[in-house]
Amino acid sequence: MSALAHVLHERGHWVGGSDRSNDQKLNQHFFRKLLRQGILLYPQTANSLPDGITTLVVSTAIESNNPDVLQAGARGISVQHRAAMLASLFNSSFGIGIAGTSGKSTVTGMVASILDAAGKDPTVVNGGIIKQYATRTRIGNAKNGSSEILVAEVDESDGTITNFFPRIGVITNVSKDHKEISELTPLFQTFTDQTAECLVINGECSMVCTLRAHHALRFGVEGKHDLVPESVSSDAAGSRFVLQGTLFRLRVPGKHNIANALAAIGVGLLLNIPLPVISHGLALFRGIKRRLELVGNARGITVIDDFAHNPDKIAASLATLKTMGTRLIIVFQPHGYGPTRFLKNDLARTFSEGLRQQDMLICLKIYDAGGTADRSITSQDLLDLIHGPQLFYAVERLEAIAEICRVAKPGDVIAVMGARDDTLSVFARKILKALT
Amino acid sequence: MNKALAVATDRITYELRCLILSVSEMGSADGFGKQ
Repeated sequence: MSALAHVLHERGHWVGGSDRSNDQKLNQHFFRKLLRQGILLYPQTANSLPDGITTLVVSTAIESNNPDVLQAGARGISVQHRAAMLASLFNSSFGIGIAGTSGKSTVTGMVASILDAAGKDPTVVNGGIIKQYATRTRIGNAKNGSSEILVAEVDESDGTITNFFPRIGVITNVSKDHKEISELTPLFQTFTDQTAECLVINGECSMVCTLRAHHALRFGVEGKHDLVPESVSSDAAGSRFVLQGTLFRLRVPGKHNIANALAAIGVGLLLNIPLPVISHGLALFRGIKRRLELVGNARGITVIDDFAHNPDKIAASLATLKTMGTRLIIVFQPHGYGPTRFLKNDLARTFSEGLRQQDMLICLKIYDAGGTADRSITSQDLLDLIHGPQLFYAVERLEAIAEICRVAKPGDVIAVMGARDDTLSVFARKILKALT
Repeated sequence: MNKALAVATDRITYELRCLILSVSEMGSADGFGKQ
């Protein structure tokens, strides 16, 4: 939502915003950046819609009985979904749509870096914060460019992916997340059918390979595809590989990020950007905030902040985290009661397979995003299904810090994992401070 | 308005005056917060 606000405002529209967390004085650094951009903030209370607005923009998270939505209806103010608003910008541009279950934000950031390096000055609308875009006034998840290219992360979770008609599309991978595979397949097939020029797809993802695509560039870290890296080497800081004779250096770790880079390289090649320029652009990419982000080291213990919250993302993060130290202590906050219930068996299998006996999993309470929800499931229900690592349920975050301070030793890697809760980053810093 | 507006927003032909609810929501999957 903030990315859309940024772009619309920079394009000369009047944009305001409201947010419960601002009313509660949370995440003020974030709202200060919106204010510095000239985006006005209003309280989210009954009868709080300012005079003169013509459109109310809502996300899927906003329920139809929201007081502002009801008020808009009564006042004849148009209510538009964020995806419809973004699609109206995207479809009238040279749209590059980045889709898939995992890796969307990173690939979007990588494509943006490549296009910036090539002087293409794209507009970018991303879900995550692209570190090199963040400034005192800019959150970093968007940029309004001067060219006709618009790069956007497009979402399958609420079905709005079908609103987008890309010139170039990317599908990173597809796995069960918010929906079953049987529900996802037609959504991604529609996205494929609506892509005008060419798709860049993951040749190693069996589900993606079932999609019927007329023009596709396939990538894979191993095997036979159009884009396959050679001479791959990785460490905790990043990766290096050679593609078609050009050396690439990534400042983000993990095999999954090599796959993400290949997707972005595919987009660059389709736009006829020379490989050395693509390589330079990727070298400039500093990562997405909260994607295996190093918080710091204390007494030989590494603390990481990570966004992983679905089984595939968690598996990829665990594989990379294991290369960073001798033992993992994962602090996981399940996001939302519905998703936890939907994914609990898959989450349990991922942690059981991805963590070793010496590792530890600390589960926090399920993140409550408000609204109507069946709150009958708890994190303990998830822990009961996990076998292998040591397990600890921290009802309060202070209990997690106390347990970490009790067991952590040099060589350990502590990773805080969970989606879209800014307080997790603060919590990760508190863990580091407690260890110092 | 800048030049990009004329080029890139063909389907938004008028100046919007919009209020964005939950403006701090991040991620393409904004609906993820709905439980």
